Amino acid sequence: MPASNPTRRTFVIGGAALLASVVVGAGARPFVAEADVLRPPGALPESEFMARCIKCERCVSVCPTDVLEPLGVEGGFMQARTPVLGFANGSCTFCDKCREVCPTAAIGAVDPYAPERGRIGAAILHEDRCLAFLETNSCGICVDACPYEALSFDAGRRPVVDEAKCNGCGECVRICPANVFTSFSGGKARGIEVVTEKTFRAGEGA
Amino acid sequence: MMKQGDRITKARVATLALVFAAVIASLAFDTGIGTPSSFGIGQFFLLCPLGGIEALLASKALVPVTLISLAVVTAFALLFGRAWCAWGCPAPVIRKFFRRDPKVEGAKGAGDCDDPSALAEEAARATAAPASFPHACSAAREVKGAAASLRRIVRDKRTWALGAVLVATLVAGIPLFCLVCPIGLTFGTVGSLWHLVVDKQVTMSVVVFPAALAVELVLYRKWCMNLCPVAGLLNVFGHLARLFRPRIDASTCLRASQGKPCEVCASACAERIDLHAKDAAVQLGECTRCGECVKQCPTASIRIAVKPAASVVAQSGRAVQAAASNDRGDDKSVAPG
Repeated sequence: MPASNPTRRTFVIGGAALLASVVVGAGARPFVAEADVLRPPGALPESEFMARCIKCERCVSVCPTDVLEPLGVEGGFMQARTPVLGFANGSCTFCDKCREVCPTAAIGAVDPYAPERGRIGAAILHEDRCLAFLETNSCGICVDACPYEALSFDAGRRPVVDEAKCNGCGECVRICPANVFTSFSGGKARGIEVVTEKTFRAGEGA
Repeated sequence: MMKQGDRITKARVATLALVFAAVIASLAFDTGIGTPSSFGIGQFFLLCPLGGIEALLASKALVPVTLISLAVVTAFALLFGRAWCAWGCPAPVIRKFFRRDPKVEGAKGAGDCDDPSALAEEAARATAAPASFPHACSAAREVKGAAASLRRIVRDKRTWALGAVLVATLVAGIPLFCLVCPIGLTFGTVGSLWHLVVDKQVTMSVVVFPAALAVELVLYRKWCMNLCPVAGLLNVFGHLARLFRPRIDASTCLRASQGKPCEVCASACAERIDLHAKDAAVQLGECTRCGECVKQCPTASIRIAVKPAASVVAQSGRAVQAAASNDRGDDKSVAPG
């Protein structure tokens, strides 16, 4: 009875299982590095980060400003529960705690004063939402708030981002009142936003 | 004094409650204790052994911090075997809450000894066992036991699940099992609820994670028995972990002392371990130290023994001497053992 031969059966089932797992693995691969989200400062490049992150949420739990939050399933099934920055609750102080607690070293060290060697992202102004662009002299909170002097005023007292100094900490986003002041007209977005390096470069090129 | 079985149940409930409390406290006070996937204080932490191995395979890099904490976790697994499954993992509790414990499959575990004579014979064998193994052949027994353990590991579906997970992870380049892990999803649910309530972060995770959990644990009852690769991984160490295994006192056990067809301990076991089986010591490689057999035994003949023993069914104290002298008839001068 070849069908009930345990060795042969094991071999067939084992082969099928191996094939299935290779197919599943290969099928998952294209979705790994597609997310364009703000990772903790010093996070490895996206595909390497995704390879190491086991979604333990330790970085999220240790974050003293609660700027780190787990990405929801909307952000991608593969990426759910990975840490992302959300500036509604706080901004990044580069305290280094998320790097310290990461059990798989998915987060590396970063110098907030050397954005060219790695940063969270870069701030971009939305001229259609920023209050200073809508009404002269109306607002400049972000310029005073920036801890890294990456924001200044232009001749018309409108904020300008110094791309070389901005490390994406998000303090400007956190305090931007545009979403509050424009809420009567249904506006929820802020006048300044931190985007990933990838999006920033793409925007620069366009 | 409270019975050992009841004490173990209470301790397990308390431990699991402590795990949940630690996870929530860690979110509330930014202590970074984390979740069971990785928990600790600052740079001193343990991590999920499967997650750690997956991360190493997916990134194809030897990460020192991961390797160190994997070594520590391995040491724990070598000491306590699969204790995690009964003491830390939320899956059995979730299943129990929804009353979806897998059905006991009749007398499958003890199929080969249904007639009373076989039982009596077995009882006699069990009683004689400690005396009939001289120290000289203990090494040979060890080798035989290791081979039997290996066979059992290879036959276990969870070992195959573990293999499939690791291969898929290597190919995908991302820890794949973490996406569907019931432990991760449980604490992911806790975390997403926390962020919903406290940080007003509205995500579908709040619905999707519990739904996935329900499919895995409530709709499919046998996750822990058939599919869990974490159990598969811990089984490998469990066969070497000899501490805190249950042991039967043959002098009071209904089956060993009177030959009664009692199977309470075998049917109480979530891992379907039959303590009276010939290969009980091998089956105990899968023991989760849950203490259900201790609790359910009608004559309280099972205890979790801290130290490893030569045999699962053992005589204790006076009973040993009595049995030994019975074996040797009138010759009272022969010392037992």
